[in-house]
Amino acid sequence: MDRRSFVRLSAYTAAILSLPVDFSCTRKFAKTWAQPLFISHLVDLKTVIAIGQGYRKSVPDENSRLVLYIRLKGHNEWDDEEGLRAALDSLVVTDFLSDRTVTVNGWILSVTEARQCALYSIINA
Amino acid sequence: MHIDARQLPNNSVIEGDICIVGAGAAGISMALEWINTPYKVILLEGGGFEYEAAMQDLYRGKTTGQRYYPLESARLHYFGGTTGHWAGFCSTFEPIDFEKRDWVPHSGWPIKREDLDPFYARAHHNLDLGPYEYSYENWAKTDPTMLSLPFDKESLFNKIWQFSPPTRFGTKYRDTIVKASNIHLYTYANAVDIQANENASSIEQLTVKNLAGKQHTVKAKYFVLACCAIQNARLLLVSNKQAPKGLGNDNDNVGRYFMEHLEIKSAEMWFPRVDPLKLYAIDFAKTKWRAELAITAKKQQEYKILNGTASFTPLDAAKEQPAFIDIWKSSDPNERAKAFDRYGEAEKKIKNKTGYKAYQLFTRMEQAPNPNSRITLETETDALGMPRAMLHWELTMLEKHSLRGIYEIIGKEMGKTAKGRVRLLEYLQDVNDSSWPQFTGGGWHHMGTTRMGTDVKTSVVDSNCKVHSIANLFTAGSSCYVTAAAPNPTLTLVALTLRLSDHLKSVVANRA
Repeated sequence: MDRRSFVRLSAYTAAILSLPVDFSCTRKFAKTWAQPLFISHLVDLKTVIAIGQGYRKSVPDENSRLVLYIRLKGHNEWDDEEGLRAALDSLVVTDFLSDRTVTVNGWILSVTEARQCALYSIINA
Repeated sequence: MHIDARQLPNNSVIEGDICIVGAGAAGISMALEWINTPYKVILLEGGGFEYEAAMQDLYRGKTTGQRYYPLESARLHYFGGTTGHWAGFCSTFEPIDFEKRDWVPHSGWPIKREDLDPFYARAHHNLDLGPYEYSYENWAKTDPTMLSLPFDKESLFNKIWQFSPPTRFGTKYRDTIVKASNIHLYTYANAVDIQANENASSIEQLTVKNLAGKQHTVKAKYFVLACCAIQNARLLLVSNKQAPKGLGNDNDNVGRYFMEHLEIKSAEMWFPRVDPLKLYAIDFAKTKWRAELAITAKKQQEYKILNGTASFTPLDAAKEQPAFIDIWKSSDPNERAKAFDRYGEAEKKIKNKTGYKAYQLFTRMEQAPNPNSRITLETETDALGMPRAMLHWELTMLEKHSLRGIYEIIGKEMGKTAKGRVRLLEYLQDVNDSSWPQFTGGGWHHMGTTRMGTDVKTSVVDSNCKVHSIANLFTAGSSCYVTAAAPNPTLTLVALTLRLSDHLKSVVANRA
């Protein structure tokens, strides 16, 4: 096994090892992680799912519940759902302020809310 | 003074100091400036005082390239010109519109916005507009309910529009012109040929004809072509006795750089709760001022995009409204009124005073000056024997890139302020797609064709609207535009004409 493959496998293993903790966390706040709050006030859930599917198609690397969760979570931890919700809302605005935007099905979105739509589309597939 | 050229003996010779060809917004504005001066001004109008199908037919021509309206529908051929059907939308060009922009090929006027400011103020009077004031902040003081959307002022601004009643020049100024003793208005006097001296450095006379079979000669010291971008170019190209390529066309620029405003539905804006967007709404014939969302010069430069603005229509109504290109097909005032009724009906049907959650964003944007977008002459002639105009309207990738850029900027601003979200329409979603949808249309605005510039190789007229190589020939109106900016052209073309008029007065005075 060459060095590059070893490093890749090690990273993958580390992610798998952390899976039980993260999944328990996602289950706990599952609805919040997968609820793009602002978008859900604009359009119906069918559109949210379509946006989510569109994002997964355009960013195939993130076409998995685990990867989306890891990307959304980053290095942060939340003990309560309200804190998580507020943090996600804040992240959405921060995304726009720092040009972390993506166009999905024509919608100009923050990367965070696009990932939330993607997660929602997986959970509600 | 009014003379019907059909009633004159055939081959009459008409003489004056100044000859203005065309009695629309530009020609009438010019003539008004010369009332009670010691100069005899000849004002030539091809039509009469009312709409006539036979006169409109003289404007018929072919179009190629990007789908366009029938040419005879877009301009009115009678006293008052196209003010007979304009909607009265007025706003100023921005300073950036006059500048050379390295991302916009062929941009850059030889004059600045500040050169036009005093004339804009005077043009307001001609067009029955309010005060010469285009700052949102100042207008908002007059009505605190006109609330702005939230955004970073480095990115967007509220571009103010004022609305003319709209002033119909043919109605409003007819008596003034006819009663002016030194203004000699000739109706049914279509200029069909301009004759220069042997080396085409000076104009000696022009020929007018009418459908009654009469032909006359007009002699003057100075000639001003004010018969719109297409007809100005057509007349110069047709006049090829002394200049084989047409007058002022030594460098093949006459007719080129034809520009329209892209007026096209482009995106949607969605809000979490209803919003009346009163500042951005319009009630035709009632609203005196409103705003459209505009992109700052800084952002235009950063994104390398053309100048454009976005207006709002309730989405449910917009979905019922056909595209302009599908309904603006007739110059007949009755047919046109019917077409506009369809617009009003759609909005009335969904009228809701508290506002809407979703709006369609409609763009009004300049097209990049493009030498391939041009007017040439057709082989077919009109009833007066004059070759018809041929329009090749051509857009570039810059227009599409700019449309996307405009809504990307607006979309980001709505995200930053958590106000709403923007969705691009399908035709803008693929950045590699250079095609235009079937509903792409213009605003019936014709600009360019005798563009202004300092370089004789790339322009037709100088900064005073004088044809470069000809001592006494000027063009007035939007044909002189170098770039089209976002606003409708009428206010600026009247301002530019008033500037030309002042210049011509100084030229005439110095000659005397």
